[in-house]
Amino acid sequence: MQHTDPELIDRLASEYVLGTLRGAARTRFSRWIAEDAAVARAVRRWEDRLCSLSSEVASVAPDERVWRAILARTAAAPIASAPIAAAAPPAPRRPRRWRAFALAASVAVLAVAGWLAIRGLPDTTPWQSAAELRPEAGAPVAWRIEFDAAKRELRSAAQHPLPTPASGAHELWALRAGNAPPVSLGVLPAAGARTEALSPVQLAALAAATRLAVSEEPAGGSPTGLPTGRVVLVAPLAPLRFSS
Amino acid sequence: MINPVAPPPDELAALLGRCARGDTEALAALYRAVSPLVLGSLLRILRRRALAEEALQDVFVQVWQRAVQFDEYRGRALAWIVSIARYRAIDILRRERAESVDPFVLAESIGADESAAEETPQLMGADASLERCLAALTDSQRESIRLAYLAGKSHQEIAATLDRPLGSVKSWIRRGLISLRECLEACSTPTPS
Repeated sequence: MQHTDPELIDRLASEYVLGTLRGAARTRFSRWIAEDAAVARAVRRWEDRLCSLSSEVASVAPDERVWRAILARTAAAPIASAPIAAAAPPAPRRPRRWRAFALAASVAVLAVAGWLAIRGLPDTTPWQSAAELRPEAGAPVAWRIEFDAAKRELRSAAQHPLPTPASGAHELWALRAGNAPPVSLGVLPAAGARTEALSPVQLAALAAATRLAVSEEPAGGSPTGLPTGRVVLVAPLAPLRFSS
Repeated sequence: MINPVAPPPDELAALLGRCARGDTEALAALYRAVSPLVLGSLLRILRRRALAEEALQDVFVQVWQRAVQFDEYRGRALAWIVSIARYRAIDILRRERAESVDPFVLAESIGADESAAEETPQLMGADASLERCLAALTDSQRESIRLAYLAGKSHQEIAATLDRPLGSVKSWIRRGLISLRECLEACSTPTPS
């Protein structure tokens, strides 16, 4: 391995920044950036060099609601507990709510989820998946979750649902690896079934999800965009497989 | 076309410093200053306005959360933010392309949103050193690098777009980047005009 070869580091850094380093190589390289200061420096130099290309881009004013959404998410998502450079003023540490959430999730009763990748016929639905959420192993299925990639819909059906909490409703969350905050997949029905269209953010989160979780939230779902109540169920999730 | 004076780069860094201390007013000022450029970059790669605006949200949430990492953006706040945005867009592209090709979405994306682009204050002035360095590249090198950086295209997609062999595209990019390395300086500072 020539991993300390500065020329190789520089080449990989340049293609990482340009965006042509893709797939598993990109994922591996981004881990390397986090681990090796020399690699991170090479990446920064390339970010600085190529940044000027953006001067070609025509600026586009975002819709007003984008800022409102950011404000809602940043108000709910406290600052990451990242290493602070000596020169930086100390940042007040507010608790990371989703960290606490992830911790709570890991000690909650584990559910057994079967995430089935069903191969579709080539010219029909490319793939569908389903998960069964149970409050504990061997218990009856509380909710069955079906995901239709072609329609970009999530269908949740109450089978033996948990009793409606005092707070108002149960909300389903996609949990991703690392520090990524949970993404809401909507409120679960107390009875019957509900089908919801998924946004690109939800689709991306679901594709990257390692676990599903259910928390207790006010009726209509968490007001902050992040879980606020008790976690009642966590289900590990096999990575989604995309059949072609 | 009026070009209001853009904030100087150390002002962006100062705003990030205030973000690190939990000051949402600073985040708002930062957003006003750079979000049109960031959305423009995202739109160029993602093509769909809804997708680009979702990504814009993610970018500013990340900027807010990572603002404490002062050593990452010291002296290069704009390059740092633009990079966060481009990496986010590339990640979204990778996931989108892993999904089925949806003819409806394809139709929607063709030529979409170009009309929605409205001119807003330019944060970055044209960079004379960049133009000089790009001019020193061959046409193929320059076009390949622009397609990768601005449109987020992969080697394969660039080869298809230019209708040239994949090996040639990879070599143009490699050589082009080496030439740029020798020539390009750090990201230009916004130029008031």
